[in-house]
Amino acid sequence: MEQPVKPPLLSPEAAAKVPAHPQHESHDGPYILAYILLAVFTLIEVLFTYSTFAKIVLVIILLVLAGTKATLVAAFYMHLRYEKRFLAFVFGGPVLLGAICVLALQQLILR
Amino acid sequence: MAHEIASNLPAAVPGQEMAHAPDVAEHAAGHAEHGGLAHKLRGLENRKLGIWLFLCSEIMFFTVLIGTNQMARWKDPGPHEVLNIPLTALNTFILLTSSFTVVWALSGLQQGNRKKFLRALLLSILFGAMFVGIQAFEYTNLSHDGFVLNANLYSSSFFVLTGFHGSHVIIGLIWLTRLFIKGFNGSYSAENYEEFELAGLYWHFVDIVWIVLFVIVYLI
Repeated sequence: MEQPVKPPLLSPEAAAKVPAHPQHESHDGPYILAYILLAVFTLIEVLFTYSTFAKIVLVIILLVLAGTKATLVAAFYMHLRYEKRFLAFVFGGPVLLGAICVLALQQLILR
Repeated sequence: MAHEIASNLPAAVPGQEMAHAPDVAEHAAGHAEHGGLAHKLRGLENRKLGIWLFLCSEIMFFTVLIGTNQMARWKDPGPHEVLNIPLTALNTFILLTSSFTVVWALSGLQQGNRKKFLRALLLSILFGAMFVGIQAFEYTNLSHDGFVLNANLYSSSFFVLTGFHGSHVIIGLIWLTRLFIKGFNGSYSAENYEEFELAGLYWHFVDIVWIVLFVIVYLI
């Protein structure tokens, strides 16, 4: 029995922008670049941990790096960059709320 | 399509068929005209919106656990020095790699490259299993140092937080393994990849959570 063809999940506008979709044509550059950046940022994070920076400077740098890495994964691997802006707002709301909660609690660590 | 939907509906009260059937057919035809609005909201397919909303609820879940961990650290700094940063950094790198291989597999599927899809997916499963294995090894080492679930408030929050993340990885592994078996049997193609895309979204989210946990729990 023939498998039913389901409609693609990406909207037509998003599908047009996603790097890899034409048959036998590879556009994996953004994925590789994101992976290299993620690996480099992870290495920088670990190196910073052994540095002698003031605690507050260290916390700010590490949180910025973690935020950048999370954004890279969401934007490129989860294709949020190519999706409708509505979806970014849906996902961005709880992320912002969670980030505020976590940042507010950092003052306890810095005491 | 409209007639198909109308014909699948249960028969209405005798004498009212004529009144209802055209309405239903008209309604369904309206949906078809608007690109199947019954399955979309703002141009987003329902299952995709559903998994994004699920991930939003997961953000709040992990925020609470992270907050508890932060509070516990304040009350009882505990043996933070016991945590093995180099080993966890390696584990972070492994999970990041698995995320890359998942998107690599999706790319292979979209290109109609079955070999690339299956190889990348198998690598993702292996990397995910390695992550869980290293986490189990870390837990064993910590327990040898007396850092166990009920040692203090900090250790409890540490194990609950990282344990819940680990359980998410295991669920993701089971999901990916199922998709690998289905993919191996030829269930997916360049036109039929949405199920794998949904699993990928979940896997990448688990990766994002670990990116945050690694910094907040281990490095800060």
